[in-house]
Amino acid sequence: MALTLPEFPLPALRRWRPGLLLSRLMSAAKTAASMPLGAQQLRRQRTSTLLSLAGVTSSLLVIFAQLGIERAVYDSGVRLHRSVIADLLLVPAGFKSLQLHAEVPVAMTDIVSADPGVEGTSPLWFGVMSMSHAGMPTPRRLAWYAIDVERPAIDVPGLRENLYKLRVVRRILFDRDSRPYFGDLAEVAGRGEEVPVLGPPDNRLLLREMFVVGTVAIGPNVVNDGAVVISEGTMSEVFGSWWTDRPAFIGITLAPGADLLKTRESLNRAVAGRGEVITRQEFEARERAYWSRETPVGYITDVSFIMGLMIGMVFIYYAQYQIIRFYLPEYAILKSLGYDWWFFLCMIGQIGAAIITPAFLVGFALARLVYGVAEAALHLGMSMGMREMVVSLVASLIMTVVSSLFALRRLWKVDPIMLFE
Amino acid sequence: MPTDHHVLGPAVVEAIDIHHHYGDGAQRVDVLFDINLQIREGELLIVTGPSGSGKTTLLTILGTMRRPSQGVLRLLGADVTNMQGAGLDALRNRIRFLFQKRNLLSSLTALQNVIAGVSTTPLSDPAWNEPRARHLLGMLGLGDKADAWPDELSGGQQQRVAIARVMIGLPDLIIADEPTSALDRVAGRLVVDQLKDLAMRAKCAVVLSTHDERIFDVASRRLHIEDGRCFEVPIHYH
Ligand SMILES: Nc1ncnc2c1ncn2[C@@H]1O[C@H](COP(=O)(O)OP(=O)(O)OP(=O)(O)O)[C@@H](O)[C@H]1O
Ligand SMILES: [Mg+2]
Repeated sequence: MALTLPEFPLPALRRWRPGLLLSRLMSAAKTAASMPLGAQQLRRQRTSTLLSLAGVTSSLLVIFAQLGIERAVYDSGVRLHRSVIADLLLVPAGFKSLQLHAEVPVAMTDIVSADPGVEGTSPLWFGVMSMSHAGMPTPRRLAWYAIDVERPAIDVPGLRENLYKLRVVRRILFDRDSRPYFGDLAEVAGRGEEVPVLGPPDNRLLLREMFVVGTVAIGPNVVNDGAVVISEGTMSEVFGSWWTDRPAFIGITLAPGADLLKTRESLNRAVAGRGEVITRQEFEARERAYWSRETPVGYITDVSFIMGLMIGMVFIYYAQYQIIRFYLPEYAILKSLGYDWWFFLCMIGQIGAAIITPAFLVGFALARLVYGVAEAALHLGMSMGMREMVVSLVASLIMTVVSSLFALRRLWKVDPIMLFE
Repeated sequence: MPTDHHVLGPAVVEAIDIHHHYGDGAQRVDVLFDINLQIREGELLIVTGPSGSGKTTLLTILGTMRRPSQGVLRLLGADVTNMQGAGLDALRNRIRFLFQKRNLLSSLTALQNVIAGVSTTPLSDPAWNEPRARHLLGMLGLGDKADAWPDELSGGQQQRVAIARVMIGLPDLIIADEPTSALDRVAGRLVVDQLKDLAMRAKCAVVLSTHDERIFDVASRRLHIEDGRCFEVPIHYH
């Protein structure tokens, strides 16, 4: 069978030729790469090169730090969300964050349970209290999470094996990952000893005493230094029985074979605005969105990211500008030899790359150190992950390209006529 | 009338009724009037004249670095007076310049400087650029200086590296503005002899401005500019 080529409308193709542009850029890059001009010029302009390197490195450190802080804040903010064992969650209508302490009307439980797609529900209560014990000089605020001992809504390390201990009222589990302000509580309780602690001051003249009987691992977040897990019974005895009516959310387990989205839809119709049924992913996503959009943390990290980016750009531009300024007549010579803008862009880009590469490596190494120090102090789970690497690499690329384009504008002025003087 | 001492090739540059002035209004300075000129392959034209007479101005116009205020400039048969963009760039690539000093890139070695003269041309071949550059440097007596930095070379050596850079690009037109004025007699002689050789053997047209009477003898023609007007000076052969 004869092969016939389809006829392309050639004139239309001729107008826009990215292939040609690309090939010109490639050949310019090749020419620039074969001419070790930028590297040598950087070596000769030692002072400005070192200054620029230092500046870019610190700007990358700022970026790394903000990425680390951001990740730590967001990740620590959703630690509990990740441990939820439900398929769907009934949360207060317009739910944004657990830290806002909104509550679901407990009456909704009956409505939800009535749906044929629902197998069971398990509420979780959340509040904060101050706590102290013999080994602690002053009381300290921490979060408490109350669960239905028969059907815990969360699963965190240590909870399953200690769950039975919570059946006795005023017996509580302490979060061993809490910040170290709680003395040796985790250590002693972890050994299996019962540690008496004092709960919040109480005006109903009830006993304040509770007993830590074991530990779990949850981890602190920005607002809570630590946490305890308690039973619903303990909660109503210590904080008042009205608390029972106010869970922070209700976990919903689906019956086998029930369709997640369909059930969600029908539940949402049933609760009719007195709550909202969302998936676990959305639960987590909303908490993250809250931290990034509605708290100073998100704002500050965004600002510091942009600042880091700008500072880095300025310092790369500084090195490029110094070189262009100093070697202006030499760039004029290159122009008189017929080198084009593609070449100059590659040349300047090369100078930028020669700055950003070592700066990135040093910044990365320093950032790991800083992360280690910060993690030791904050216990927020700061770590260097794929996201930090990719974002900072992209940031470096943006810095280099933008500053190169600005620097290229400087070269625009170069006219070989200046060589005839 | 151009003097025909040898068989003349086609005109490389042709200036027709060129007039140039700097500034406007009260600041207006008329530098060149009624320049009519043809320079052919193989010719070496020397431009002389007192300081400020407009030699450099003429050279920059012939080298398409500056647009004349009036008149027509043809380069290799094409009217470049109003040409722009890629067409002009392609033609410019067939011109090479040689300046009084600071011809070289200080951050490249002699060899890399020479190679820089060919990378933009269709002659460029990654496998051959370096051997060719080495060969040219050897020819110019700089075989052992290939890896030297420009600031390690004498003025004359630098100028010869620049000539090697001109040669490797095989230009049709060479514009040299007082290329010997910063050199002593011997070094200057070497430079103009090379330029003469290029004109004769590589069929370039060379335009060279100078104050230096000792090198007038390499010229195939000599143009004198005074008060903005130019006239040919007959060449005497001894
Ligand atoms: N860019 C300019 N703007 C205004 N006037 C200029 C400019 N360049 C040159 N001139 C004037 O034009 C005249 C010719 O200058 P040009 O540089 O062409 O002279 P020249 O013959 O090369 O001199 P020299 O032998 O000193 O190099 C001079 O009077 C000079 O002052
Ligand atoms: Mg001059």
